[in-house]
Amino acid sequence: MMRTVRSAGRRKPAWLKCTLLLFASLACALHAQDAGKRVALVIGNDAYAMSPLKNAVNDARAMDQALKSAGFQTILLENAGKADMDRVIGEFLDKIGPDDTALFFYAGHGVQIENENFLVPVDFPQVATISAAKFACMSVAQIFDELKRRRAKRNIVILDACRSNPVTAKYSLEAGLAKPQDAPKEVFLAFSTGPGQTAADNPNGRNSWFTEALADYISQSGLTAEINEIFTRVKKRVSDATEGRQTPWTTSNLTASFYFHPPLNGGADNDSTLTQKWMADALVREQREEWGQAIDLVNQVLQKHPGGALEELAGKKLPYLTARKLAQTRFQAGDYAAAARADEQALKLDPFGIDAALQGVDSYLLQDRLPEAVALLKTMRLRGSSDAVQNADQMLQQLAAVSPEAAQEAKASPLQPPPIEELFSGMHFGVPDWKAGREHLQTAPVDITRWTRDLKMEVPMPVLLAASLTAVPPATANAAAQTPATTPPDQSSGAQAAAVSQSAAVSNAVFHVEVVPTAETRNLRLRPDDPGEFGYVQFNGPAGDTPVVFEGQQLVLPARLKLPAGKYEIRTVDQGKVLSEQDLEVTPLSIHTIQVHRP
Amino acid sequence: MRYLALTLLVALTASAANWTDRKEYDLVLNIRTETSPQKRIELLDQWKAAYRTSEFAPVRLELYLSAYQSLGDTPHTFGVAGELLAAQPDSLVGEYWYTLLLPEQKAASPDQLAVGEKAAGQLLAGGGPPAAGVDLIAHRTLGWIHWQRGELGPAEEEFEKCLQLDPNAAEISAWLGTVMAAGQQPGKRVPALWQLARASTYRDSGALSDGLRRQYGEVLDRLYTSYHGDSDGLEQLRSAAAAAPFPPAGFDIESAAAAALRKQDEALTRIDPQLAAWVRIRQKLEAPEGDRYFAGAIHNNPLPKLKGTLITAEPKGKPDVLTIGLIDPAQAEIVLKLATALPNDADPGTLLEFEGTADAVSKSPFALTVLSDPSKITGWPAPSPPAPQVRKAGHK
Repeated sequence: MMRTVRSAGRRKPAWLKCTLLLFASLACALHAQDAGKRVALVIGNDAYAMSPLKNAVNDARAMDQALKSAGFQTILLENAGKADMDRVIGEFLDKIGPDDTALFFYAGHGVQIENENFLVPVDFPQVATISAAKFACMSVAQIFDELKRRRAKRNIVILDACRSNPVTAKYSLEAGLAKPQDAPKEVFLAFSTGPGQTAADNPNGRNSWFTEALADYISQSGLTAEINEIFTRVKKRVSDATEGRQTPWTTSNLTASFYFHPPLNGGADNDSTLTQKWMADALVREQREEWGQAIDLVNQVLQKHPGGALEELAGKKLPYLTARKLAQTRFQAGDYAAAARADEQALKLDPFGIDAALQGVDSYLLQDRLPEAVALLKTMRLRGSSDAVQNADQMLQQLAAVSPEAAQEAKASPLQPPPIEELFSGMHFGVPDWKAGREHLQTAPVDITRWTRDLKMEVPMPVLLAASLTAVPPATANAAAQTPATTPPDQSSGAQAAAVSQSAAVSNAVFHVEVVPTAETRNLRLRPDDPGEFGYVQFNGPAGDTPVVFEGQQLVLPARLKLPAGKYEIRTVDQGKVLSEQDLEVTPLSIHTIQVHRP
Repeated sequence: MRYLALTLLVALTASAANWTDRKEYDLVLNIRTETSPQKRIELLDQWKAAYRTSEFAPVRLELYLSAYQSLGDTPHTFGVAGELLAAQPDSLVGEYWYTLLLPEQKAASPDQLAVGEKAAGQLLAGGGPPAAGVDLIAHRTLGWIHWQRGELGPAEEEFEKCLQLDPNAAEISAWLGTVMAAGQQPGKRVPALWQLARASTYRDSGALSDGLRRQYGEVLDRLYTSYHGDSDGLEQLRSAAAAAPFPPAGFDIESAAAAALRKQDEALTRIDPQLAAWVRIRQKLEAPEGDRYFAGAIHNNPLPKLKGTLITAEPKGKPDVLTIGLIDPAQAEIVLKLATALPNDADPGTLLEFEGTADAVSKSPFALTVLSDPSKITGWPAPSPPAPQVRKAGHK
């Protein structure tokens, strides 16, 4: 009987051994990180004499908290000089052992000098030469060298140090950091932006874009994502936040997965990176016809319940692979009928499984079941690729001599392939993936910082009471209160003041600031409203906390008063007592600033 | 349901599209077996380059969208959704993803807002499976669009609809609180604080991430302290808001200004209850709803006994119209119209106590007209006694 020659060969099923090895290595990857300590050195430098930064110390604090939540023993160093950095890096290195995970985070100025990266301490001095500048900085290569000597299990180095900086400007150096030349083994290295680029300090925020995102993800104990996945998210968030101007950069030679928050157990882990890799591996095994390994990998994916299209694909793939494995086993055992049935089953599960069709053709031909073989060849002509169609055509030509069905099929015109919807039967064209949409909503919050940043909720103090409370100087209150109601009137003093003296006393129960023009200055109000005749006094202090009273009008801190040029007394008053007085001369167009402190 | 109808429509129209040739089919077969979204996009690019006018172009766009969506590439997903809507304005897939992703655009153009508004409207009109939360997504985006246009009232309405659909949507609470606070309307301040407290404290299903909760918590701290004067009561607000999406009826937080006012009022009441009473009345009369207060509580009603300083008394000799300053002795606040004239004048600055019935109010300048009569006024000086008659000596 005729036997067709197939392009794909078969391999002995050594899958069991491989699968066991795979499981073993996965188990190692998941659990080995639990051995050993997690040690982190976190440095944030803001207080540079030249070009101080705003967020680096905040960044360091945020990372310190986040890393603590991920089980790291941390050393936090803020605004470090060169000696401090040397000393603390030594302490950090002393803590690292062979099984440990060492993490070094630095936020501050960094610079590349002659393709080598340096971190700039806050006491960076005025030096004349590049060599002196290098000596005054902390070499990243030196840190790498020390890490190599410690042989930590893994090293994670994160540098948020790519901002434009004074050293770069002074010595006309390249901006940003350089790609590291001689990183140790087992290192994951991250820059807040690409080599040679500068990063934004996020002037309106508390943290840099990069560290804000990173610390946020690390601090999420429920986020059991591998470090690469964490940084993929950080990259996206920073890129979105900066509208593509900044994308963090990473490189890694880690040979095992690392999780800031490891999954509690394999079954509960929902790590999409890992499951996607397993599925991709399964498909490679399928192409090699290593059915056992492919089935194991797909089972692993399903056990993780990754959800979405991946779980759907795995769910469909598993019975197909099982049928193909059965077909192979029966074929090798010489049970061609069972092999053909299994291939037909596989083809039913995946109508585009042309390899199953071809295998089925083999099995049918070995049983002399030509009509069934021709039917499968017809399927190949319908659904197969151009190569498969050509292959089927050749086989039909060969069979035409012994099979009228084959001869008839060989003469038939080429078939139009099925519509595209059949190819992607798992997709529902025209209908949104509702589930993906819901998941997106849960995982991609919209950043509305630009709207919340400037929100204010100050409530102006009502003017009416202010007028009643400031009508009479406090010194007259007690005396006026004792004045009989029938005291003869006197428009300029005494009796008139008495009418409101009690309320004036009340005013002094509230802490406030009074701006009182001197007698000489009161006359200035008669002057024309010329802008040149006015100056300004800015009162700062706790927002909304303290009224500032001037001529019966009341403002709430922070407040800027426009005052006619002249001399004034600024009084702070509480409980009826003048706590402090300050003379102030307002000159035309001057601006004075007064900081108000509550007692 | 519209989405079911569209599914059927797609199924019916599927066979209408034809492959350009078998090579096109080969390309798509490769896409079918590729599981990496990134590689799928590369293959889709190849297909698009080779068969730009393919009859399967709309399906190709959906494959692009799916691949970009799998990658978490929001800008491209949004872009493809826009292409889908441009090619097929009633594309449900385009409407859904455009609506869903529009709020993630940093600077959406007016055209994009218009497209999003139409798409969200069509989603609402067409409906969708309840579990999909299509209505929530549509109202969320409509609210966001109004927000971008500065239409804060309509934005609030949309976000409130969202919270009615899903009271646990903490993101919406954050947006609603932000919009309410941005409006600077006195009546919205407390609800805004509630929503921000809700967003920053709610932790169950629908909660924000730790980072965002912290971020909104900082905003809440700042606004609450600014509004209330200090952080007293903030923890109680957080606890209450964590348990309910909306504040209970009558919920209020005293503002720093109101607290200061209250303290001043309390102190004033202790020292000069008459003045305190008047200050309260005047504040209410000058408030935005002062007219209603006057008509309902003051007009034709007797006022409490008040004390003030005479400013003018007209006409001279037998005055029956007095102007009196209560808070400021130099500024008339009450016009006292007497049923009968007083028998004599009094000097400006004379302290008077009086009662009467409120008759009219004017706000600029402020003056309350009160009807009274001399018997209800104390402190008015007695008439000067008549000059004694001098008798001539020698007469009997």
